[in-house]
Amino acid sequence: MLANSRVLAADFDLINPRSLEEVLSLLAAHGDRAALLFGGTDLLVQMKMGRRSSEKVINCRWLEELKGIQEIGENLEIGAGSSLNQVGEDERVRREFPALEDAILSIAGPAIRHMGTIGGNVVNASPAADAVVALVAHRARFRLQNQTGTRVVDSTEFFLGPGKTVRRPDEILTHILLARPQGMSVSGHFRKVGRVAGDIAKLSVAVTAEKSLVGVVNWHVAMGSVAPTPVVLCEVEALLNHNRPLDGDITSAIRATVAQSITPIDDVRSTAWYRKRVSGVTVSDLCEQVWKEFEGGKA
Amino acid sequence: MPEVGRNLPRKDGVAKISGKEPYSHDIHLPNMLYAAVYRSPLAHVRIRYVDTSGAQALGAICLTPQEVPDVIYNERIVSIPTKTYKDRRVLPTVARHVGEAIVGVAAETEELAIRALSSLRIDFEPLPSVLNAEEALKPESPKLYDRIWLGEKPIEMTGNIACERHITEGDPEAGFREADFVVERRYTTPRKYHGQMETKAAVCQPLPNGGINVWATVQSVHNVRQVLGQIYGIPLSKVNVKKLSIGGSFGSSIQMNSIIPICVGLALKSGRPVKLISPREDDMYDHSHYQTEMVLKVGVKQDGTFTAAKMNVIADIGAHHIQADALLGVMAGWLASLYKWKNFQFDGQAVYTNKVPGCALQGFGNPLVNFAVEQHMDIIAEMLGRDPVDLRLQNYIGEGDVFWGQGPSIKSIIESCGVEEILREGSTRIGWNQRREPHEKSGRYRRGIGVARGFHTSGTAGPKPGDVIDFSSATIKVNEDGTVDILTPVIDHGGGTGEAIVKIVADTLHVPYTMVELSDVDARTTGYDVATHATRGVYCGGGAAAHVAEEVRTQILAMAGRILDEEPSGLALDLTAERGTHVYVQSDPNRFVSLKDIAKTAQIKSWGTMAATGSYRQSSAPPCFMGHFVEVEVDTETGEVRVVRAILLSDAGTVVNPDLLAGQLIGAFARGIGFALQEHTQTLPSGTLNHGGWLTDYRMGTSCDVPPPDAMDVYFAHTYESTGPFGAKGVAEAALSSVWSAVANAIYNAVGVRVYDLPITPEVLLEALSAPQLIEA
Amino acid sequence: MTSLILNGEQWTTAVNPTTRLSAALRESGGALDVKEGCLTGHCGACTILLDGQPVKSCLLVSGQAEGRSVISLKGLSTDPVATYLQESFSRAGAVQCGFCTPGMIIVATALVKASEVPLSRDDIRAGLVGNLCRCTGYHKIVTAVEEASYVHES
Repeated sequence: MLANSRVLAADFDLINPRSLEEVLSLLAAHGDRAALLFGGTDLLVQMKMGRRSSEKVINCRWLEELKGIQEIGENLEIGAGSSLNQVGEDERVRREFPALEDAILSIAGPAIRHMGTIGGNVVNASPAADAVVALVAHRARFRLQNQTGTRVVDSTEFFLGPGKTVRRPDEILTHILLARPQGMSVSGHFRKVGRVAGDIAKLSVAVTAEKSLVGVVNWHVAMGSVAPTPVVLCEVEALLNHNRPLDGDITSAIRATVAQSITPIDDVRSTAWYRKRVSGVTVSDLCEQVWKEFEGGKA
Repeated sequence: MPEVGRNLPRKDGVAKISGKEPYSHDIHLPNMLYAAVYRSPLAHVRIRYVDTSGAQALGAICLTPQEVPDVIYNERIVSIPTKTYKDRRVLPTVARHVGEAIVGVAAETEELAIRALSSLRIDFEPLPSVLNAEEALKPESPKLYDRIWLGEKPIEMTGNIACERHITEGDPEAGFREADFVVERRYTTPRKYHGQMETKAAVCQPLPNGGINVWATVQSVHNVRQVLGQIYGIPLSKVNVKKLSIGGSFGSSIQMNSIIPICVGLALKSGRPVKLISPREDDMYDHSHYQTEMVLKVGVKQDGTFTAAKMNVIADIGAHHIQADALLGVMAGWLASLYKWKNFQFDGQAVYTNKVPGCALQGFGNPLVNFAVEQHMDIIAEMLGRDPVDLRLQNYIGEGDVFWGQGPSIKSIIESCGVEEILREGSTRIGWNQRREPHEKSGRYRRGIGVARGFHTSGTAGPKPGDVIDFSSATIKVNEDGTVDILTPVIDHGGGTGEAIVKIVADTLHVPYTMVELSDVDARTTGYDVATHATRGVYCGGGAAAHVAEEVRTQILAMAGRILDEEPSGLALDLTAERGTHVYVQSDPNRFVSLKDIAKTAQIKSWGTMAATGSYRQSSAPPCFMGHFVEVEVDTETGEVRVVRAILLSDAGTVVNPDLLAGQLIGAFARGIGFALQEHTQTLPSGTLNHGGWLTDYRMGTSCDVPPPDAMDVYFAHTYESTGPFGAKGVAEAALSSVWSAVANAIYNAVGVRVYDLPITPEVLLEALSAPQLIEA
Repeated sequence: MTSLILNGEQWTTAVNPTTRLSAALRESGGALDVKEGCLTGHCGACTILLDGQPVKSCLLVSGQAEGRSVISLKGLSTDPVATYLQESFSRAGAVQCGFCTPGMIIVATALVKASEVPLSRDDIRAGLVGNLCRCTGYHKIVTAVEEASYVHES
C-alpha cells in the first residue's frame, strides 16, 4: 500500500501478550517477522511512512514486568517499558544521571514522553535518539532476554547502524542498567541542536563527570546524529581525564578533536560542515558547564 | 457604551473551546463515502491510461482524467474574467508536478479508499521536467504548456513565462542619473508552506434535483459556488456552499482548493455523499507560497531623498497559474506605496516550473517586497550616515499621498496614517537611541536591534471598478423580541471578522452585542462577497453590514413613527440601561417605544418584518500600517538567532476587537520568525519535496520558539479612518509585512552581516560569519 | 472488537484494531472534538487523556487502548480545571481558528493538575511544546494557562 499518514501501509497482526513469558515465546517463534511495539511514537510513524513493516506487531506497552525503576545491587535497573516521563521524573535519575534527565526533557513534548518508552528509544536505534546518547555517556548497559536466558551488553557496543543493534530477533530488551555513582557527586548535561524546540536533533551531545577527592574524574562524552550510531568521543575523554582545570587551550583542543572524531552528513536538517563546526562548540560548552558546576562547590 | 472597541466573548467561542464547532472534517452525512486522491509520483508526466479495475473490485468509485468535464478554469476568480489566466482542469491528462492530483477514489471506508488507490494501475509517459526558474526561462527548457487561456482568449505558449508585467511611472533612468548614490541588491525568498492547522477538506452531497451541497475549507462560499457551477454545468440556484469555520488559511483557500471539484465529481458519479480530507502530506503537495528573486535598485541623493526605484522580479509559480498576474501587479503596488521614489519601474515575470503551485500567503507579496525594501533602507541609511528611523520618516508615503492599493488599477489618497506615531513610539519602547553599531559589539553572544515598517491595503475597492472584484453583501433583520440576525457570507479565518461585524451592526442599531447573532448561512442565503482576503473582512465586509444596518435603522424609525404618530425625522434610536434599545421623540424624550415593542407590534398588526438586504462597495482601499522593532541575540559560534524582545505596532484605525487584534499581531509575528529563520521547502531533483510532505521535517514554531509573553509589547496607533465602519481599517496582512525584514535588520545590527536570502538559518548565518573578510578584531 | 471506557462510558467498537485511535474515536465514537491535523504526532490536535495521561491519539492504534480509559474534551465538561481553562481561553483571546484548542486544553489540564505549585510561564511553554498553534503565537494561550494554574493552586 502507498505510504500515507492515515492507514498503516502494511497489513499486520496486532498481538496483545499478557506476560513477558508470552512475549518471549512469540519472539522465539516469529522473531524475524515481528516488531516490538512499546510507545509507538517511532514505530508507527515509520510504518505510516512505509519505512518499516512487519507481519506481526507485539504490543508490549502494558507489560508490568517491563516497567519500573529499581535499585538492585550497584545498579539502578530501569524497565525498558518505563515511559520516558516516568524515567525523567525519577528522583534518583535526576540526582545520579542528570544527562539522562536533560535528554528526556528535550524529547518532543509531554504527550510523546508519556507514550514513548526508554526501551523503545534504545531499540529503534535512530542515530538521532536523544536518551540513547545520554545512556551511552552514562555508560549504561542493556539486558537482553530470550527463552534461553539473559545477557548484558554495553551501550557502547549495542548499536551497529541506523535501526540496527546487536539484539537478536528472539530477544527483548528488558532493562537498562546504570551503575550508580558510589559516594561521588555527579554532573551531567545534554544538549540538542535543532530547528525548533523538541525537534529531532541536528546534533546532540551528552557530557558527564564525577567529582572525587582527587578532583573531577570519569569524564564521558557522547554524541548523536553525527555518525550512523551514537559516538563515544574517546580522544576528548582522554583530554579531559587529565584532571587539569578547563582552560582556553583545552577547549580549543576539544573542538579540534571533536571535528576529527565524527562523520556527519548533509541531510534535510543540516549540513556536514555545520555539524562539524557546532559539535565542537557544543561539546566544549557542555564540558565548561560541567566544570563550573563542580568549581561552584557542588561537591 | 459602544461595543466596537470592547473585548467581548467570541460568538463561536463556546463552541470552539468545547470542541463542538464543526469544521469540514467533522461533517458527517448518512450513506457517506470516504475519498482519497492518487497524486503524481513524477514531476511531468502524461497520463495515458488509468486501469481502475483493481479499485472497482474493492467496491470503490473512481474519477479519472477522462471522466471529468473538459473545462479549463482558474480556481481563483477574484480578478475579472478578462484578466484571469486559466490552465487548470479538475484532473489533468498531463500531471505537471509531483503531488498533482490525478485520480480520485471513494469507498465505504477510508482504509478501503487507500487500498483502492494502491491498486490503481496507471500508464505513465514521463516527460522532461524543469525545476527552477532560471532553467525554465531558457529557450531549450521543457515547456509545461502548449496553450493556456486569458479569459476566453487562447494563448499559444512558446516558453514558460506564465505572464509578465511592466510598469513605469516617470523617468527612472533620469532619476538614477540624478542620484548621488545608486544601491542595487538581489534578494530571494523561498517556497514555503502555509501550515494552517486544518488540512484542506470537502464534503459534497448530491441532491435529487441534480444539485449539490458542499461543505469545504473555503475563503469564499460564493466563488467556490460559481466555479463548481461552471465546471459541472449546474445552475447556481442548485449549487450550495455552506459557510463554516475553517482551521486557519493564511491565503491558501482564496482559490478553490483542488480537492473540492474532485470530491464533487465523485459525489455526482456515485450518487452518494462523499467526504474528502487531505492528509497533511497531500496538503503540503497541493499549495505553497510563491518563490521569488527580486533585484532592487534605488537612487538616492546625499540629503536622503530618493530619485528612482527599479525592481525586477522573477516569481517561480510552480505548475499552475493561480494568481500570478495579480501577484506581479500587487508587488508593483506594494513597492510603489512604501516610499516616495519619485520615478519608478517594475518588471516582473512569472515562470512555470514543475513544482507545487504557489499561491498567496498572508500579505500576497507585500512581505516579500518588504524584505527587499526595508533592508535597502538600512543599507542606504548606513551609507549616508543617517539614522534608519529618520530616513524612513523622511520618505514614507503617508497622509495625503497616493496609495497604490493592490496595484496600478487601485489608487486612492491616504486619509488616516499612524506611521509617525508607530515609528516614534516603537523607538522609545525598544530604546532605539541606546542602540550601538555592529563594530562596537564583541563576545560570543551579540545583541542587535532592527526596525522595519510595513503596511497592507484594507480591501481592493475604489471609486471605479478595476481588475479585481470587490464588494460585499449583508442581510439584517430584527426579530420579534428585538434581537437581530445578521446573514453575512464573510468567512472568519479565526481572527474575529465575525465579531467585528456583529459589533458594527450592534452599534449602528444601538442593540447590545448579546442580542445580535450571526446566522448559519451559505451561498444560497446570502448576497455575494468576493472572499475574505486582502485584509477586507472588517473594512469591506463590515462596511457592507454597516450600510445595510443603516437601512434597517430607517425602517425601525418608520415603524416607530407609526406607533408614536410622529415623523421619523423627529425620532432617534438609542440604547440606555433603563429602556434598552428604544426610539424616542427628540422634542419630547419621555415619549418612547422599545425596539422589542416595535417588532412585536409590527408582527401583531401584520405590518411586516424590519429587514434589509444589500450590497456595498467601498470607494477606497485605505492602507493599514505596521511597525516592528525587534531585538535579537546571535550566538556567533553556532549561528543561532533568538528573538529576545519585540515591539509590535499597528495602525488599524478604530480597533474593533482589541484582544483579537493583539492576537493577530502576535500570531503573525510568530509565523514571521519561523519564515525568517528556518521555514522553507525545497524541491529535490526528483521533483519531490525535501521534507517529503511530513511535518517531521517542515518544522513550525512551538510555544518555546517565540519570545515569552513579557518580552513582547503590542501598541495600537490612535487614528480614525472616516471611510471605514466606525473609523476602522483592516490589519490582518499588515501584521506579517515587516517581521522578517526587522529580524534581518536586527541580525545586521548584532553581527554586521547582512543576509539577502531567506530563511536565515543557523547554517547560512554561521557560514556568512565565517567568511574570511569578517574575521578581524 | 475493541472495548474501552470513553468519556466515562463503556464503549465497544468494531473498527479494525490497527485503525488509528483518533479515527476510531471520531468516526465511531462520536468524539469529533478530537481533531486530526497531521497524523504523525507533531501537531497535538489529537491529544486525549489515556488513563489520565495526555497522549497523541493519532499515534496509537485502537487495539492498544483495549480496556483503558480514554477522555476527550467532552469528557471534561464537569472537570473544574478544564472548565476554568475553557473560560480563561475564551476571555484571554486565546482562541482564533480553534482547531488546536481541544488538544491544547487537554494538555493544559493535565499540566495544571500535575503540578503542586502554580506553573511558571517557562513551565507552561515547555508543557505546550508538543501542541502547535499557527494562529495565536501562543502568548495568550500561555497567559490563560498561567491564570488557570494560579486559581487551581489557591
